[in-house]
Amino acid sequence: MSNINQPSFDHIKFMTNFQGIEDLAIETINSFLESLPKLALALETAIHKMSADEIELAAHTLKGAISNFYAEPAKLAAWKLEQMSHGSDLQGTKVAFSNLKIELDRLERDLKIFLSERRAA
Amino acid sequence: MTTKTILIVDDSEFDRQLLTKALTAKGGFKIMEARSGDQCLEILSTQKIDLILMDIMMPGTFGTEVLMKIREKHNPIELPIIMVTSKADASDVIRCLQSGANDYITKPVTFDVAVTRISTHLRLAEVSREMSRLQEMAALDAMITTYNHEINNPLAIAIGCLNAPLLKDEVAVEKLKSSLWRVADIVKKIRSVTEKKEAEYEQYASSGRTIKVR
Repeated sequence: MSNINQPSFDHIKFMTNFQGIEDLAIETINSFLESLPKLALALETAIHKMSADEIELAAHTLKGAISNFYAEPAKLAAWKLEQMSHGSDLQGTKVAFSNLKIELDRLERDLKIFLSERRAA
Repeated sequence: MTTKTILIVDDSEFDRQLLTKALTAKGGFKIMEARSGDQCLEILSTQKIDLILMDIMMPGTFGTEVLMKIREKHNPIELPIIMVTSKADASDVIRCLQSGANDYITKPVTFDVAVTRISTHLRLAEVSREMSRLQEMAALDAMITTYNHEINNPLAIAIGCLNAPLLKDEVAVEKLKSSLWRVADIVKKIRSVTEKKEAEYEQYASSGRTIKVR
């Protein structure tokens, strides 16, 4: 379930990591927003195929990309999917993916807001 | 100091490019990229790499498998390997370290931490190489000292024999004497070279700085 009270990402931790290379932070957000549909589609396709190995890899890759933004709710949702791929019943992955999608949409929205605020500043 | 070359091995294009840009900007390293274990091994066979930063989990292979293949040809001193893991599982980390990784960092990668760890391992590798060179030099010194002694003894005997009453041909004796003194002179020069090295070692030990031994 989505936790809308928790920020979708920690912008302070994220920007601290890019201290001195702030331009790269903006470039990274843009690059992530560009890659996100492809990363999510890879996971969705793996779930559709019910391929445990592909689900694990796609969820792991997506989790790695998300973690760069200290986006804990989305990271946790991706981690759950990665863990589910180790089990024998993959049916639950569809619901888990829906939850992840909610977190990804929230993250995408907040990253875009962050970008526009940076541009305005 | 020459720019060090780091090989980043990660199947995720997004993570790979981010690390490449951040480590270039923050650490000043030259970065090469590999998207798989096979590509990593291919690059290693043709390029000079100073350190590898490798993702623990890649499609079709676990990072430790690649790690063990690399260790068949490169020891941890000549090629440090730092594993990158997003897994909290300690057993993965232990498995990597037991398979020959020098260190590990966790995702999300904190760039300053990564640069510091990389620099530390590069420096350790450099110091280890310097120590090996010094040991090699010490062995050479010992060998020269031994040979010096081994040559000097029969030489002294031979020179002594020149004064024996049975040696009649004065020209031949003079030639022999001159040749033997030339050999003695060379032995003396070899000795002076090893004495100089000993002085440099003392300076190295007291100042704690590395020296050029070649």
